Amino acid sequence: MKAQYDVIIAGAGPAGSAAAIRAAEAGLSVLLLEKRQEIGVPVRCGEATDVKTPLRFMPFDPRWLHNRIDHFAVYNAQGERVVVPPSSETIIVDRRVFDQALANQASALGADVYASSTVIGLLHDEHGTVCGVRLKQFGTERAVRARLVIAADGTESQVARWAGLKTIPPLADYYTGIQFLLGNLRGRIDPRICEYHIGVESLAPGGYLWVFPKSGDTANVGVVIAADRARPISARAWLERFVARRCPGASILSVMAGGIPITGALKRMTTDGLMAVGDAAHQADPLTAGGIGLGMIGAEMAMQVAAPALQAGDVSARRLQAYERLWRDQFGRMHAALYNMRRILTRMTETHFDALVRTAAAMPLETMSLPDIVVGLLKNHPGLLLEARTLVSTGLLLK
Amino acid sequence: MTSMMDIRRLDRTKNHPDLLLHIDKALCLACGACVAVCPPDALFLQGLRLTVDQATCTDCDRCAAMCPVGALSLVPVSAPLVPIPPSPISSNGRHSS
Repeated sequence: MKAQYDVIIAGAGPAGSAAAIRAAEAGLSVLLLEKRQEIGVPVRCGEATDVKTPLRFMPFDPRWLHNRIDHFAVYNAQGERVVVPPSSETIIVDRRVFDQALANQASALGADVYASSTVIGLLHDEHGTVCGVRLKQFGTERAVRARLVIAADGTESQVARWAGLKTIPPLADYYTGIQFLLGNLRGRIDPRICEYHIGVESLAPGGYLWVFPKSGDTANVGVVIAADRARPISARAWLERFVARRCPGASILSVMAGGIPITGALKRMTTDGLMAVGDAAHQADPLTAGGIGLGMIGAEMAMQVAAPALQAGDVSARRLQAYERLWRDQFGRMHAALYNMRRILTRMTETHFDALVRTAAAMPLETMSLPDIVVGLLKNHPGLLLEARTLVSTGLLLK
Repeated sequence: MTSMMDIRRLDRTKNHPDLLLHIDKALCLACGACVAVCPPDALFLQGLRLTVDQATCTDCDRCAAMCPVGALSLVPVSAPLVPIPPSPISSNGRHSS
């Protein structure tokens, strides 16, 4: 480890490693730090992602591919379902191998990568600009200077918080979730279909359950619920209830849990000498909370702005804010719409949603355009009109 | 370990002076969901161990709502959670002013 780098990145998840890859490609010296003993572990993720985004950062490797998905099935609480193809090619990855492959790619491009290395504080220069980190590695504390620090330390980001960026949204804007890796599922899951189960009253208040098959007989089965509706029944209790019904007798191979903000990205993701990316910047999709690809794209946008800024010797917030504009231009409207869609879904009664799925299930969705689908649904559910107006006004239906 | 004295001294900042955050270590999965929503940054995850700084905690209850496994709860200060050394202060934990 050197005493000074161009860029120090706190957190070696997909966003942190993607930032490291782009920074190293730009010829910058990079230090990528991961506090955990092993990059990618523990997995706290449904592990579904589009395939195109990761492949822009690293070559394909069958070791991180678990499964390819052909269709998504949305179930209501009655077990009726709508089956749709994914909007982009979707895969289930092994996050442990995937995250390590990404970090290794950064390393191959020249980044210094260390696990078991925790950032414990930020260094500031006389103007208050962030100019490095204090870190703890194998029991030893040291200060390492950097021209730019990237906070990629996930939903519980301390680094973004120290930099004054982190806002804490209301509980209604958080999912709290838990997932089991289930085994012994052969014959009870279709390995080509990702299932979503929605029932705001009887399945998962304010959220949804999922079954993401990793193979013919294993799947990530999990639940997220809105944190303001997480009592008296915990996420774990909802999941246990679902598993007992959907796949009784399945074995629990692994348990993982976590929370995730679903507000859409922070308004401020930069300060003097520092940028936040990925979950540290709340970049996950505000409806599904999926964030692997989004975090990587966020990291790429950050470096797209940071590389020329570093070359010009200007890492002021004013200059780095171009990154926030890039993000807003690409995702602002869409994420606002997804956020509203989640609110509509959580306000809808379960009976209403059940009927909606029933109507949609009878429509030849594969051959229909989105506007056709919406018109078809509105004919049968005029009450939706009011809610659809929200979506039109936020741009989702005009996409 | 924060002493009872420390907790009481900061009672003014607390929402429920008579309650304390309790971590059920048998249930906790050390996932960190609570850490992310703690306004005063009073929760710490070191490896697989979650700890709370009772002096900083404001009993706002957000972490308890956020916990995916129901491992966090606010309990009366007088509940015997941890061995508390004998104190001259009455056990209800209410601020005296």
